[in-house]
Amino acid sequence: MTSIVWQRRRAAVGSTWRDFTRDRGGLIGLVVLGAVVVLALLAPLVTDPAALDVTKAAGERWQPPSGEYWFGTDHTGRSVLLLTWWGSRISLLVGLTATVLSVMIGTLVGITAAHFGGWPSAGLMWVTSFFLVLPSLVLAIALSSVLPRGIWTIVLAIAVTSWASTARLVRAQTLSVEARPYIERARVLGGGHAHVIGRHVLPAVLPLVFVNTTLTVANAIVAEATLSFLGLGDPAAVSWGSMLRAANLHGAVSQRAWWFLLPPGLGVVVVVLTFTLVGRALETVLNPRLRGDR
Amino acid sequence: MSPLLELRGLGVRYRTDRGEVTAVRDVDLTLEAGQTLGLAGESGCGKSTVAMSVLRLLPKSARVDGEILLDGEDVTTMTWGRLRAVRWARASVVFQGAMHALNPVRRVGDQIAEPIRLHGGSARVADLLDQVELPAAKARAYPHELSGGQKQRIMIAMALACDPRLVIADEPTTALDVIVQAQVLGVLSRLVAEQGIGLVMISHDLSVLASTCDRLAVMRHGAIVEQGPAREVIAAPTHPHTQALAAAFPVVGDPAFRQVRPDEVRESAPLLRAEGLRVDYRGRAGVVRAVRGVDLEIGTGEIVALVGESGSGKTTTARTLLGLRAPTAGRVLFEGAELPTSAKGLREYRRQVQLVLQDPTSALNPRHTVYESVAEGLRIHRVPGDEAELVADALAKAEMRPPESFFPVLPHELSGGQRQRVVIAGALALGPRLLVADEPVASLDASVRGEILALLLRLRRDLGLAALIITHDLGLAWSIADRVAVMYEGVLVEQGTVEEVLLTPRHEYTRRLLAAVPSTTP
Repeated sequence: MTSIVWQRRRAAVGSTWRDFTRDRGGLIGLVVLGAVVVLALLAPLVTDPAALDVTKAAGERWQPPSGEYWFGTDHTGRSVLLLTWWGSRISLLVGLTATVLSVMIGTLVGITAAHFGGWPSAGLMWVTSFFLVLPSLVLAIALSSVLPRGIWTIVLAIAVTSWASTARLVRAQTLSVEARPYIERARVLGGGHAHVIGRHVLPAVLPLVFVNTTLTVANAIVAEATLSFLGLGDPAAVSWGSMLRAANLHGAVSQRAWWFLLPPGLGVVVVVLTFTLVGRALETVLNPRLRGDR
Repeated sequence: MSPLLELRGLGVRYRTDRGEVTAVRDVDLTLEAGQTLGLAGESGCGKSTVAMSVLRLLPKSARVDGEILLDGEDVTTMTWGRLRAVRWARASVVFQGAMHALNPVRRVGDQIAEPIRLHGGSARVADLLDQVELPAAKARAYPHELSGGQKQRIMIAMALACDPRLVIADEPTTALDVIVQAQVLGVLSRLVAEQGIGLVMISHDLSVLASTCDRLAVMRHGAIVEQGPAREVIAAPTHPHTQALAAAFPVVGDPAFRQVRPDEVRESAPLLRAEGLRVDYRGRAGVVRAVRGVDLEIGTGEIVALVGESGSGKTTTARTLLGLRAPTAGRVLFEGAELPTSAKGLREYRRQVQLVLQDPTSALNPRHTVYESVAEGLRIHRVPGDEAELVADALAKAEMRPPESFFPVLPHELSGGQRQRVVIAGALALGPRLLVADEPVASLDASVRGEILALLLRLRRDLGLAALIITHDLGLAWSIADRVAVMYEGVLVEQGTVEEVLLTPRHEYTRRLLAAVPSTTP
């Protein structure tokens, strides 16, 4: 029996993939994203992290791009290429973990609020609205200045401030699924809350959550860069945000060192763009209403 | 003089992803002014496509062959401007589903006047409302302030706005209660007689067509299989499909349609009992008393029909009997013991009493295979035994044979009747003793209704399964029930054996209900 189920799932994944590849933007995004991720993972294998140490910087300060240093050097003589490369690891790590955390909170709150109803649900939606109206950057800054510094603080600050929209979305979808008669049938068959949520609601909501995840990652990466730029990140770790901060602090603009500003900035733009492209493409595949007339 | 409407060799094909699909082929029809033509058939037979092709309202993917002559003028070759002039002024449509065809944010009077203004006439909304027997003050109402029957009459008034000579009514009474349906049909018939309008009426319900139409055409798979004077077609159908359609709408009082054999009705012990049941809803407009004191009893192996119009509280009663909703007052007894209130107790109760919902399409999770849907209850209750065997057994009881071949099938690959069988199999898997069926055949095609009803009867015969059937259809009650309870405004106004209630009704409301049932016999 299970083999038939698996066959069916494989076929479903196959057809989703075929629909996805039809969207050229999404495909390009996926390829670029894949390349960025692979490079980030390979960094410790092909480069020497020792070169990131200020005390062991080998190059001249403020050196423009050359054959030796493709992206030039920074104010301490480190290679900007190397910094950008290693910075992508932190940006992706923080972006992804913060998103997973945020989407998990959002899904939990959304499903709970929609499924159980009554005053606890009303209370949950009050909290959600509170987080929605609060300027999330201000809250994140406040959080990361109170908590000990480090990337996990940033992850927490981003997650806590960005789950509210996911919660709203999941709640709406759960409400629409729960209004369908097959939920009533499941209840009449004797199914409790766990059964209804696990067997019927969650599988119907997950595609939406998945799409939402890819779009949230982009926001989280920007938020990480912002917080690091403002000096709230881990001072020891190199990230795109902290590079921009260093460039700003040490007068890269007055030195006309454009090579120190552009690579991390473009890094953020490219990664955010690829996540958005992939997310949009997934959205059209998983939500046929957006497909429009063919 | 040429006839009002003439279709010559009409064929319609749709271009789809899977190639061309023929929706209509070789349809020849004629209609004279002052005549009524009924177009009958099941869902997907092409009857709505025929209707829409008359005003060229088909989607862009449609290809039309043949001729559509409106007063001798071919619609298919008209220019766009000419077509706009003809639409509504010469022929108009009463669209299916009045609930959704009206703009919810505009007053109905403005909506009726809209076609008149477009065609440059002066609005005479009050006059039109009068024709459909509505007070002129209703012009200032919004759609949500009107009942279903009133909205349907607004739609008819809208169709009449530009004095068309031809009106096409697409399922004008679907989703209306019998009494309201009779009123709407009365309005339509009177308009045809008084104003000499030609009317094409589309329906899946032969009895509706029989009571209003002069001539009848029966469609199947895009072609007309039988056509002739309505009385003759219904009294002596020659095509097997027409016979199946006619048999699907039982005539109350006709012994031929009674499927329960007299010897089957036997004395039985009470199984489920409701005593002084009251259910209140707290709505926006205060407390709604949905059920106001119901005493009902269902015996072992007994089939009881709970009849009433929408909003009479019959569905709420059923939900309360199932323990899905707590009664405000009164109690429900199963085998003499009051319904449990704990989650665990209710779960045990679910093995005894099961529900079959109205629309099998939405009652099955579209992502679950037949196997998973039927096994759902078994898994919840951790029923011991070989799961595959139990599922196969339940499917076989619901007459899905061979059961194994249906295991990997998804609901959308099944027909409506098969889906309902899967829902029934899912309920049977738990071995219940009572089935509560909420309009079990209302959303099914005519030809499979009989099969599902026969299945319920066979389950009673073989398994001793009792059933509470909730329906608005008196014919259905006549065909399979032992006892009938009539519900009106939250109260049971009459209950007794089928013969007592339906042949010699005592309560005024039951009489009105019976009088409104459209009949295929003149």
